[in-house]
Amino acid sequence: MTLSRDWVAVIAAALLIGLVKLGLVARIPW
Amino acid sequence: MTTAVASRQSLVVSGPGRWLAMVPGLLALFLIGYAGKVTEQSIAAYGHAHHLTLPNIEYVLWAIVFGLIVSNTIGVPAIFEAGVNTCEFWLKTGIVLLGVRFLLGDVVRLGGVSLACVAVELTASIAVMTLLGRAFSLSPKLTSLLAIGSSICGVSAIIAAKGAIDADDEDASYAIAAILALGAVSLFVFPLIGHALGLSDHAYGLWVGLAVDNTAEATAAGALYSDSAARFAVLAKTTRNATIGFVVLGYALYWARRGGAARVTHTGAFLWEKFPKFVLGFLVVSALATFGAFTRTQMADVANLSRWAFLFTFAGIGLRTDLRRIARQGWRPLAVGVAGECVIALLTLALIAGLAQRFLS
Repeated sequence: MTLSRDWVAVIAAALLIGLVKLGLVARIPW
Repeated sequence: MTTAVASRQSLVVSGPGRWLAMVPGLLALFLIGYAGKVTEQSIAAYGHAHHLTLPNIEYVLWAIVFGLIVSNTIGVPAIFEAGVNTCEFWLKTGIVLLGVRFLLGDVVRLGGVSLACVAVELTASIAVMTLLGRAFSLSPKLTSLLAIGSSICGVSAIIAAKGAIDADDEDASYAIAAILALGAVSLFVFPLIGHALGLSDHAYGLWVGLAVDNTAEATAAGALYSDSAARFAVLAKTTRNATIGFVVLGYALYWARRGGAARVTHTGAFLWEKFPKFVLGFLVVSALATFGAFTRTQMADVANLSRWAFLFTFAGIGLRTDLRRIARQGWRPLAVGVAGECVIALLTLALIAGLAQRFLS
């Protein structure tokens, strides 16, 4: 079974949010 | 997308090599996107230093133009293909992360207004494209693909519908080329019209979300106006994307009844399969933000991650657009697309103007 591209994007976003919540990714500049 | 890179032989790799193969293209996306950002900042700094009032051209336009120049002059080498083709992934990831900038109440309220507009836009787009397709003697399935592409979400909808109505590769290629060409033009035209009419960020974002077909181009056209307009454009466009299953199902049933496509056996499964799942991610993140799952700093970080994801997307738009390939597709689908999109843009603009006084600030 392969994940659709939509789900891959959702999981990637969830991982990024998890990293922010854990404080491992912080002060992202723009 | 029908693109500079898609036309080349794919690099077939698997395992860890598949991830490594993405590195050159990802670097290219970053460099082009970042060059756009540096250009915007440099022009602003120059104007500030020399007391000049220079037009503020968003990095989005620079990133797209730089990408277009590369893809249509030297071309995009095959080694960059895997990475550049991730731009759709960055778009969807960016949209999910953008959910942090919407409270759920806003999504329901603005989404409700968007949904009502989408219903009108869908009906008008399908009617206009069907009439024009017949007037220009396009094949019925190409007409269906153009109607689906212009009414919902451009390339994704055309690809989803292609399988459902058993359309030819050639018809799908024509329809995609027409939608992409119009998307490229809309990037330059919509902000100019928006500024000329003095549209608010909300009204402009809603208009772009309704009238520009491809999600990447709609997001870019919104961002070219303002950061706030981009948010509204994404919300309206996402609402439009959410209807993809229903419209494709309608066409699949129509063509199955005429014997031109396979029968749809499980309607619910069909709708779920076509539904863009990143919309669910967007809603979940919006709900988390609404119920206080993030501190202010965390919300700012997630919002900035969304901006970086979009930077990769905008660079990819230019790199993946091959103007010569679009020009080779013939004039009739393009003529139908241009005429149809002009009518749809005017209709949706009239709709927004009507709504502006009641619902939009």
